[in-house]
Amino acid sequence: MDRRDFLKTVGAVGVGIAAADASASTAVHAPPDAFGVLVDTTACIGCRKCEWACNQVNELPVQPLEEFEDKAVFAAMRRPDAGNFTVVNQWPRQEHEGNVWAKVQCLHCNDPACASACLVSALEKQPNGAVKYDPWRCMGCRYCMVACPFQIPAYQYADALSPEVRKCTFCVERISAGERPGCVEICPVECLIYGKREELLSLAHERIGAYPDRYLDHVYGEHEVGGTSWLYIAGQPFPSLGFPELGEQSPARITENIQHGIFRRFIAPVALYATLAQVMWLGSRKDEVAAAAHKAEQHGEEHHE
Amino acid sequence: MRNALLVLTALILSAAPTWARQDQGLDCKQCHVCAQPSKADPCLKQAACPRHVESTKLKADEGPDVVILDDLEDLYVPVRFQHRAHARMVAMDGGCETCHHYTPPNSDHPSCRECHAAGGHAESLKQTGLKGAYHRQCLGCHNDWDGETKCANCHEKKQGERLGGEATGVCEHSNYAPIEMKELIVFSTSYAQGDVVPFHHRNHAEKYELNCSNCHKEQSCARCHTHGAESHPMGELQKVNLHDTCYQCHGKQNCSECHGRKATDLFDHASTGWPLQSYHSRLQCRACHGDANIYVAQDRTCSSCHAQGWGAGFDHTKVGAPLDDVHGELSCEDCHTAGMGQKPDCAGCHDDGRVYDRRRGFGQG
Ligand code: SF4
Ligand code: SF4
Ligand code: SF4
Repeated sequence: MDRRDFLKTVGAVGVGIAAADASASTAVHAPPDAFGVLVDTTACIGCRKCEWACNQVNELPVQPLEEFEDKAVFAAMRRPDAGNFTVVNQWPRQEHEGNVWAKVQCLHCNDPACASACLVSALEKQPNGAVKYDPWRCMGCRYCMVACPFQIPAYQYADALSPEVRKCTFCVERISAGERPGCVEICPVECLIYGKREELLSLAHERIGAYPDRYLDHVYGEHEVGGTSWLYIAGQPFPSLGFPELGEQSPARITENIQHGIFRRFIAPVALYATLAQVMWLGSRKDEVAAAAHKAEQHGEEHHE
Repeated sequence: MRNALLVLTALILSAAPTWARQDQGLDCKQCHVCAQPSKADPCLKQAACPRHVESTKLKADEGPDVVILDDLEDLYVPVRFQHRAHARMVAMDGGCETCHHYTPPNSDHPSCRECHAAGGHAESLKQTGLKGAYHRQCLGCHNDWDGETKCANCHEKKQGERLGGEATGVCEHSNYAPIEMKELIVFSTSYAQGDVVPFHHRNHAEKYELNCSNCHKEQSCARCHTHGAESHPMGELQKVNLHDTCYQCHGKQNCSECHGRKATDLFDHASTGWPLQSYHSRLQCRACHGDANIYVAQDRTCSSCHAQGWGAGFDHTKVGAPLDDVHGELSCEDCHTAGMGQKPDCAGCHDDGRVYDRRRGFGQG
């Protein structure tokens, strides 16, 4: 049994128990002073300077700026990884020849699924909007990676000794010091706008209202998964820019309701241990069978010689 | 106490800033939502800000040749922006307001920095900062054109003392072939009574003073300045539009006006009975025929065009007959006895039967 099957088994049991509670969600609001970034994808030119600046300010291994002028990377869609907290992807422009670009990084959800999945609170939403990671608390289970609806957190698999989960930090040191995030600071066309999330939202709607031919009437991140600190506006549907279509409820609410349901009825310990016992039994049975088969095979081979 | 208050009020009033746009006859409320807009908080309402107000139409060559953009000089040397070269290009379509998207009434084009603050979005969330404004203007087209966003295309990175803030901007693109106008394009069509349509491209552009955009409507720069390919592919003009384009000047009724002509059939003015010589042949058609699209025969008496200006100040070289010292002393009527602009009456003075010879001038006959 692999990890996927394990999760499925546990999940099935859990959902069965807590289905009745899953709908009991509470509305989420961004912290009142949360900052955010409004990304105007209609102005982005795909120069990748934000990628370079991000590596710079986060002290990640960085190539000279000129290397980021290479457009060959746009051939395939990229995701942020442990060494690159943000990547820019290129998409075909709709109803017009040419391309559009969209920068991807952690969206700093109002109600982060990653934090909710984390059993040791290594990820936490800060009042300034950032979803901050604490490597000292992290136990390396990587549940956050599974939970994130945008597949953002990455793991330092290459680091054998002290691997960490890595993702955009929202330049939390810089913004705490009153500076702008590294990527925002460098963007030559200022298509990244840093400010209070509330103000950015009204700005986004104002722009959409002023230029209805330029923008789609949709601010991505206003409602998606309960709202995010990073907001996007675009001239074409978001799925065509690689953004998943998501509901207004954070996955965190669903998982948390399930967990809370389990614990409220005090079934969790019993159910969980029963499931685990069964999983282990199945697993060890499988191992035994496999070992026996292996042995038999080896015997056979010996026999031949 | 009361006096002190009065003085204070007077001081405050006299120190009230003069609002730049008010002088230009604009109402503050047109752009700002608050009563006291400041640089830190201009409280702009973006939706209603006037754009594309153009009071004076400038010609491409009336603007500066080169503009050095050095407001934000930092890691890169200033940009040497070839303003005139760009102005000539946009003159073909869109005009100055392609970049100068807002010019208040009764004023010259403001520079970018007059509205876009150098501090970027930190100054106002609503308005793009100077860095963004510059880059959006340039890269808006350049990125469309060649997909390049290399910084060094416009400004080189400073390296120690080497470039010491000296403006660069001789980008690789300046080596691109300028637009070459085609002399003749022969369209072959499916029209049975005359499938060939010869189109004298240069003749149309030069003789009829047409702008590229009269026919090549709504073409981006990239359409003509094809990156890495031969410039100006004529195929860009959509086939479906060809008729409509020609109909702008030519009548719809007479197909044979264009179809079935020989490529050598260029209009010869002599066929109207008025061969163009010397000065007249250098004129544009509309100098005599006016702005009408279809040119009609003109009154052939000289005074129908040269109604004014005869007399002392008249430059006789214009008629192709520069006066020598002796003839320059005479009054017009001494020779032009039949009226101004009519053939001179040489026999009035010279009884040897000589006439004025254009090639030989005065005094040698
Ligand atoms: S985008 Fe993913 S990693 Fe970022 S806060 Fe939301 S759930 Fe967490
Ligand atoms: S906010 Fe900071 S960490 Fe996040 S993408 Fe921008 S530069 Fe990178
Ligand atoms: S720096 Fe700005 S324009 Fe360049 S790719 Fe990043 S977001 Fe787009």
